[in-house]
Amino acid sequence: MKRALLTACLLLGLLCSATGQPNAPQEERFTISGYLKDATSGEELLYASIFEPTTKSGTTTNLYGFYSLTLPPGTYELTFSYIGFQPLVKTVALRSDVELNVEMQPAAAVLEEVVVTDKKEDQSVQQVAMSRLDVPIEEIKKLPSLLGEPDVIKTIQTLPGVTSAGEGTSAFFVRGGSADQNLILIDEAPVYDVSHLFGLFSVFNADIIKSAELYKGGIPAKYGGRLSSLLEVTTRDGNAKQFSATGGVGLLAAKLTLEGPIVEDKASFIVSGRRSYADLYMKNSSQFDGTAVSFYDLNAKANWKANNKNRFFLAVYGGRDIWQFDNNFKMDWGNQTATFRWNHLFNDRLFSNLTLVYSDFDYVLHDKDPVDGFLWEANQREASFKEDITYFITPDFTLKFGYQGIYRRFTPGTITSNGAESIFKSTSLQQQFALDHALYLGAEHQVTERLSLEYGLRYSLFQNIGKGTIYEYEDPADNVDIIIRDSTTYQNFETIKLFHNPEPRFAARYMLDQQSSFKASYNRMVQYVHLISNSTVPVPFATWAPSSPYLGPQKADQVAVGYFRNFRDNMFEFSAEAYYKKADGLTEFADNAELFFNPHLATEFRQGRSESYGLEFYLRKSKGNLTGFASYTLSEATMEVAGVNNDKAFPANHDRRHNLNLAMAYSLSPRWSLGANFTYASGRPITLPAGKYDFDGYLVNFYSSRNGYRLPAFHRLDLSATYEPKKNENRRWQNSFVVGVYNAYNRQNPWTIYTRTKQDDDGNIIGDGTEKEARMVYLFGALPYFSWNFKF
Amino acid sequence: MKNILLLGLFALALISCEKTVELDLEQTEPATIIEGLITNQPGKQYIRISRSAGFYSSGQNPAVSGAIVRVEDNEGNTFSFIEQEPGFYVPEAPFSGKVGNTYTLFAKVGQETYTASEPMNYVPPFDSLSIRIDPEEQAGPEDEGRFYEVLVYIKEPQATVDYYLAKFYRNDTIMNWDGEWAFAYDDLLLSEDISNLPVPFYYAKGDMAKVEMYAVTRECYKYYLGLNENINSDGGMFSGQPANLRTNIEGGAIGYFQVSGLEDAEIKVAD
Repeated sequence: MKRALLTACLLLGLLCSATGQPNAPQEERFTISGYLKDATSGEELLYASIFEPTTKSGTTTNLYGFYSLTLPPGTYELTFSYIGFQPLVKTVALRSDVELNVEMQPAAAVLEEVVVTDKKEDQSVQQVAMSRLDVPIEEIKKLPSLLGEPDVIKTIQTLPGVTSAGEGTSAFFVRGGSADQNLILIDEAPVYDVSHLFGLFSVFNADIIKSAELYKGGIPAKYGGRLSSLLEVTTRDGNAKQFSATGGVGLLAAKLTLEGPIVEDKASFIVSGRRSYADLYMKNSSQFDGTAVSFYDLNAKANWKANNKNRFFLAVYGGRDIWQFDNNFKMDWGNQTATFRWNHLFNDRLFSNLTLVYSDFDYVLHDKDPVDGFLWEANQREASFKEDITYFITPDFTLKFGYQGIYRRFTPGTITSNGAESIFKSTSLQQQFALDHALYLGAEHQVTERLSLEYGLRYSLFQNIGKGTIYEYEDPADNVDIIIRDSTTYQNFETIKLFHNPEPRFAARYMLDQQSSFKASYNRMVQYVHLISNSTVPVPFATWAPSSPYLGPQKADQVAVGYFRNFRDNMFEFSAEAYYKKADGLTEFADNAELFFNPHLATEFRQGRSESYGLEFYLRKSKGNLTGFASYTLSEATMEVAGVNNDKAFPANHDRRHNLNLAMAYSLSPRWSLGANFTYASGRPITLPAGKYDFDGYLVNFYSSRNGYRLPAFHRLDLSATYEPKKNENRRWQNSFVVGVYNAYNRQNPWTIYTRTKQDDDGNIIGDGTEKEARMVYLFGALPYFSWNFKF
Repeated sequence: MKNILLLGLFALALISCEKTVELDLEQTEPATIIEGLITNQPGKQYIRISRSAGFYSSGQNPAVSGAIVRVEDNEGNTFSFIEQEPGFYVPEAPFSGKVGNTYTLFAKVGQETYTASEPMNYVPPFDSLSIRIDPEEQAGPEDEGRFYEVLVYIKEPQATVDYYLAKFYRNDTIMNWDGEWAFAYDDLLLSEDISNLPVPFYYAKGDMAKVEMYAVTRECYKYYLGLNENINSDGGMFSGQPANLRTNIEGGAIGYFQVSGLEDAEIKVAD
């Protein structure tokens, strides 16, 4: 009841302000609207600032580069600014609605400091949103990386509030949440597994990424579906002015991107491919005995600006890892996504975005042996429809509302026999289906000159639907004696179980002065899909499952407060945030649960709770010869699961007390630039045995507490240098060469500890085979790399 | 599946290195461990009672002597056990179990009484074993002379839900990858006719190959799956979080009292 009241109040508040606000000053107003673009490529600029000094009104472009500002009649000087571009001032005589598309020039040269004439590069201070970070794509290309592959996910792992389980993994953990609590979108399509080579690299090819935004908290009502974070990766639209190609060859992979206009300034395309090539060498080398490992990514996007009111985009992504072992055994996995988008302006204040999304993740294990081999396939697919509307009512009040509907199909496993000789029979686990709906209404509301609010409500509704058979267990938590009392079979689209939850969202910003602000936010998130994995880092062979009669939704509440301040004419951005997050219904499993091909998986579910809090500091310098950021996080994350660790709370797998990261790029001259990363993190928790015993010849570990130990601290320094030869004025061809070293001081960073029977390096047992030893695994020593990149 | 995951770590194995470290581990109260086996074959029955030891201890578990041990079946028979060696208890009068019966263990250690109970399930007999040369292995054997495969022929009853534990021997030495793997299976994916199925080890000419098939309960099957995870955990990165094994012993001890229908077959390796 209390919840319903709260919901009603919130909705009411929204409506009051929505109807009351625009009419309050009964005067004539006109709207300036349009798109902001990069003059060299025609690429839209996202989240750029527009400011009008006399009325102190301002706005930012949206995810599609569109802005809209409504003001009383008059003559205004609008300042457009965007990091890395020369600010632009446009004078507008506003007597009727004006359409103003603006093209901005990139900041001339890296060496010349960008002259800042306006006060609006302080977006981090001004915007209401907090706990939101954009990954500077161009900057990370200048930073050192593993084998010279710039990687968005690896950079995200260094941001404040984010931890990683260890190097060589692509999982990240936001504010104490687990890896499956992050919604990772590429052009609005979810990517279920972001790892290549078990996480050494992520699926995001840096050459095609335009922006990557990480939302850790204060998440707007528009987004939902995961507890901890949203990572929104947007790919480039392609150069609408001229044809160009970029590419590179590194130690690991080669890549090529082609882009250009289809119709100049109207339609453009971009295609980008990346492929590793270690397998070409491995196939021809007897040393690897038929073993070959490869991965590829392919992105393509086309966009068509039919007119200023209608724009269409089509984006597809496909990527795959292929592991071939001795011609007999093969495993491969990958994601495919497709996005179609239609941006439509109903009028200059009403912006609509219609999106259709398809996403698929699948894996295949194929053992070709005619007797004990099989083909194992699993996948999950979803198709969604989304309509988002932004209504720029006044400069002080913007309303955002919309609907999202998703159809999901989960295929947890299908086994196909290799034929008559096989000991296996073809069989499959039941497919599961779900319909996911969400309605949201949110407002961006400037209450006074100093106080701005963003508030809204998302109402999510999740239906686990047929077709399917649900068993009624005597005791659903008994994974040994599975006694089925009854079963019910549901027809196609028949509702098996319905869940629905209001998800209130709130954020406030109070300007303390021109350079600093205080912010606060609250959000509730609900997650209806569950990763079936009990490892710290998800492996690609994990499946997902919908909320269902035996698996309720996961819920999290988060509050955060922050102080934001810019220094030295916005040369430095600083923020400090504190958060507290509580989650329950977390998907956990019984000890030693059977998660693969288990028709009674429901009996292995154990839902748990988590609590996390932390303090984050972030300092960023985005101008001048030296650019980069420093982040420090002090945090704690604990979990509690019935039946695990004697029902006592234990540190979450990714709980690391201290996290310090420095990333810097320095322009020495127009030709040379240097990059450095330093990272320090407290050791991750690990469960180590308190004793051992032998049982029928097996040396079994005896544990006393979950995650009761810590690995030694992790620290590493990476260095790189980039050389760009003087460009030949007559030719468009441009080269750059990167040399670098990962783990420059060759620190042996512990990755994990495992135990085994005491043995020598050749695997011969030492002694009578009753002794055990602990082995610490290290991944990378100092790893030099070289890569060559070109552009024309 | 676990094998496949381990295989997947191949990429990391290429670039990783490792070394033995000395851990500063906490000491815990030793737990009482009960290991028991009752089968339908003579001479196989035993109960072993011991205690867990420190991780870095050597030798077998410290034995628990002087326990009073007996096993009862549901027909009202009681089988007393005597201590043959310290901590190792065998039937006073040899007996064999009967498939379909339920066996209950009573063990009294000091003031503590531990009990456990399991039914003896049916295991199908082997049709036969045969021998075949693996030409690929013959071309470059890992161990000199060992390139003979032992093939298993057996019928899996399709009408019942069954769980199995297989044990492989080479000249009476158990083969379990140096104590790293227990071959526990369920029958979810198995078809009725199992033919030409090679055991996972190679043999040399003249070797005696033996295969034992134990029918186990679902709980026992899950015990052995847990054992494989416990022994092969990578510390919880890609594998599940390390955890203690389940037990069917009541009264505060851990371990497992296994009751199994047992069938075996052997063959001498020759051309």
